[in-house]
Amino acid sequence: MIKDFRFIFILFLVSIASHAQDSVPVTDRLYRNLSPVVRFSSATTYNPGAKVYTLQPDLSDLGIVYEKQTGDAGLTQTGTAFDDYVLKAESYARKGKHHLWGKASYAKTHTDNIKWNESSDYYTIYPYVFADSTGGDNLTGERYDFMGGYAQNRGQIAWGISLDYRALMEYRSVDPRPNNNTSNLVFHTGLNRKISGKYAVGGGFFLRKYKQANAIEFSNSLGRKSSLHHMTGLGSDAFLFANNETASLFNGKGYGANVQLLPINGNDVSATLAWEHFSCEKQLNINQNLGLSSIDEGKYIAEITYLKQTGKHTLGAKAEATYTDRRGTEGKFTKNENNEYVKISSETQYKNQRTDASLTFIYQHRDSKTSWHTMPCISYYNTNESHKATSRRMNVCRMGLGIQQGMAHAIKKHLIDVEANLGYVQNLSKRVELTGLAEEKGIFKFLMHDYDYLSSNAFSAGLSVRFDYALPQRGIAVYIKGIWNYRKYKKADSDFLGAQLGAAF
Amino acid sequence: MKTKLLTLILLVFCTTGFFSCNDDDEEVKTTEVTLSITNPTDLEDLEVDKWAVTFTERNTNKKYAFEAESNTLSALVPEGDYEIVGENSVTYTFLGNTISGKLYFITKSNIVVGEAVELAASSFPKSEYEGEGGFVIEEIFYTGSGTPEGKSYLGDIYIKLYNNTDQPLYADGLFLATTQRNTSSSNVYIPEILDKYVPVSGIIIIPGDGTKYPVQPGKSFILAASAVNHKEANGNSFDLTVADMEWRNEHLVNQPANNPNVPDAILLYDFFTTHHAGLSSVIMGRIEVSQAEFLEQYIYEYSWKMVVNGVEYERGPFLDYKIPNEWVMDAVYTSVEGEADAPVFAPSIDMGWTYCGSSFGDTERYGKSVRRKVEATTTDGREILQDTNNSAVDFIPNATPSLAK
Repeated sequence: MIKDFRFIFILFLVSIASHAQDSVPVTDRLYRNLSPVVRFSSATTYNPGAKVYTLQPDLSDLGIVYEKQTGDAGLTQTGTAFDDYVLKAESYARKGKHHLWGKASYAKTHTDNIKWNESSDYYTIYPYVFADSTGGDNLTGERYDFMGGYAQNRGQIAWGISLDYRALMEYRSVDPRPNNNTSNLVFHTGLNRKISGKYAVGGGFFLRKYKQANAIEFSNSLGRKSSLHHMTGLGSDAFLFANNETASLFNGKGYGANVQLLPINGNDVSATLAWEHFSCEKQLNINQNLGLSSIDEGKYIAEITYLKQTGKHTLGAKAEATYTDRRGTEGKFTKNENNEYVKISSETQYKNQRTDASLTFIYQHRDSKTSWHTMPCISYYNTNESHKATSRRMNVCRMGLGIQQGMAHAIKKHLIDVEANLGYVQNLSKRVELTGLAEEKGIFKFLMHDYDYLSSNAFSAGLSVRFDYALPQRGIAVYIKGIWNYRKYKKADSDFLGAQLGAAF
Repeated sequence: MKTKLLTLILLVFCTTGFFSCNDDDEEVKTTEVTLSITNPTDLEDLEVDKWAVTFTERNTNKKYAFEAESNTLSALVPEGDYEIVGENSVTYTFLGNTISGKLYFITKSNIVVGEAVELAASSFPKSEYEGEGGFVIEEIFYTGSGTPEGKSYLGDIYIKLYNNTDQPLYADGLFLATTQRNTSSSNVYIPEILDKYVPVSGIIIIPGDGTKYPVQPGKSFILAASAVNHKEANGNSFDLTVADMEWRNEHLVNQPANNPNVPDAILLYDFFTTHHAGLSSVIMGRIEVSQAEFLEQYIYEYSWKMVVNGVEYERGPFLDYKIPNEWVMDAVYTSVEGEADAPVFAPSIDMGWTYCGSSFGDTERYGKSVRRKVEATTTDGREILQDTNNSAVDFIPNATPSLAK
């Protein structure tokens, strides 16, 4: 079954990648596409109809990627180290009023240093992950991503739709053995109308369906040393179901809407206001899927981008802010006379209110062969996490400063693109209260690791170099890309290396 | 244009600042619980102190401790399903002696939701055992199966122990003893020791070095007087070759058939057997000194007096053994209607009695046992047996023996 799936998948990759053809030389299109100005606004993320106003050139990309991260910086429950192989293809093509784009990728992943979580998609379902006290390395995964979109420009009106599907299987071959299958389907649509020669207003909505089947097995049940926990946030768990319910199902759905002001030529002011809602119930595989807990998340997004191009100079600024309010509701249960669990009450116990904001400036100087840019950024991050019943909380507030410098140079059939970045994060305030948790407990140590990671001052540096070579007469460029990133925290660090080999046409 | 842009940027950041300051502290939903505690009615001159009561929420395992001056407690706790345990230091009179002990109650599942809930609990004298516990007596088949002709057949008596925890336990070193006294006796014993000891007439001990006889959670350990297939001798009986251990009595003239494939318990004190009508009881626990030391230091020398037609007779001295109350992990108080006049141990060992048959000579008792009730079953199928130190409520009387198939 998996082999059949892979075969269909590879066909899909090739068909997408072979779709886009353009008469403009490939190095010119690459030169334009690699410009950060093209991706400066993220309006099309929310509204596929906005794709008709972008500056993105026709381009297809087929590549294979290897990524490896080592070190212990990161949230314990997501793992801090990994190595992935990714086969990916993406394409964007414009023909008259029609815009078509697609992405597909297959990834084989290995994640290490995971503790207190054996569920997949941590950021989707947290804090209600299924965990064991051992955790470990070598969580193997296979991930399939498909995305396709279509937009049409009908003069005064433009509209678009996109469909995004992701399937992920994760498992481990030694105890503890999680076996997780997840699927995530998102449908976006958007409609825009011109209001002047420069601007259009638009709006869109999306629908999302999410599922995860999550089980843990032990082949050596007699020698099992792990305890199993249905976590409920900040180290608490559903004690009643600890160690005896080894399968759970996450059933989620989401929806959202957005309104936008869009510049028709890609420059000037672009603004997005978006609201997203996601809810997900965790069910235990007993009593016909007993609803143990659920999350309810509201997300409010605002983004304003300004771009002004004058001759060779492009100047821009972007302010974006996202406020996320996640609430977790936990049930309380008893057993009836048939020995079945019955919910007797439920209450919101977990809260995570998070604010992410950033202000980014860009200046790009670009002529026909050479461009360089500088992109300073100031960011703000605030998270307030609390669990009511256990009186635990963790608050972190920090600010970051960063700068990215980039340069691209095209010489005949060659294109070289170099980007370097530096960043510094300064903690502004922090507070942790882990009431009732003994310091010698493993769960206390994992929470303190996460707290240190989130609240520590940090320094980061990165470099990426890409070299493209256009093959004669074929409109195809082959490329090689290397990425290095390093992050240093007070008690942890992280080293990332990536290599990519591919062809663009 | 630039002014508008700056205004918008500021607006975004002001909104951000507003959101980050939003830090509300809501209260947990709580319920006012009124708990009424009932004291045992058959303890003489009962004087109680303050109740120490612990509410344990079963979903979270969070504990809430309270004290109550009287037998009514008001407590404010979060909504949930609670196990409630209470303990009280008390004195009462037992056989003329003033006993200092503890009253205890436990109620396993109490749904506490809404604004107010009223709950009730019945207390009983607490066992003095302070060891690790975990084993309970699951079943005693003391009546014999009876023959097709309606005669008594006592060769197939057995006792089942049960691991009532979620961890493997070892049966090595457990003792079983039968009480020296029976419930139909109106004798006055001199000296009276029931407030501190259980007088016993037979003791067996499960051998082993501490790891020889594991009992998995929710599993039983069967001891039989004769671990053979009794169906061959009595069509009404059953196959006891499934027993884990046999007990033998040295001085028994007609020894029941021995199964050489089933190990024998250590006979510490002859003569160990159950009473065919349940008038003596069975206790289980651990001898906390060496066997030699026990045999030397725990002799019970006594005499007894009885009055017949106004004439007092005294007999003795007799010798038996006595087991300290605090060594007793579990006991099953058995008797039968009309014969339950005298205690065989203190109420802190077991408060109430269970039975087979409706009277002393009732042959309907044949083929019946006393079996401990199942209090709950875990989701993985393990049964948790009820143990409130009161066999009158913890056991099913006149039960079908578990080994009868």
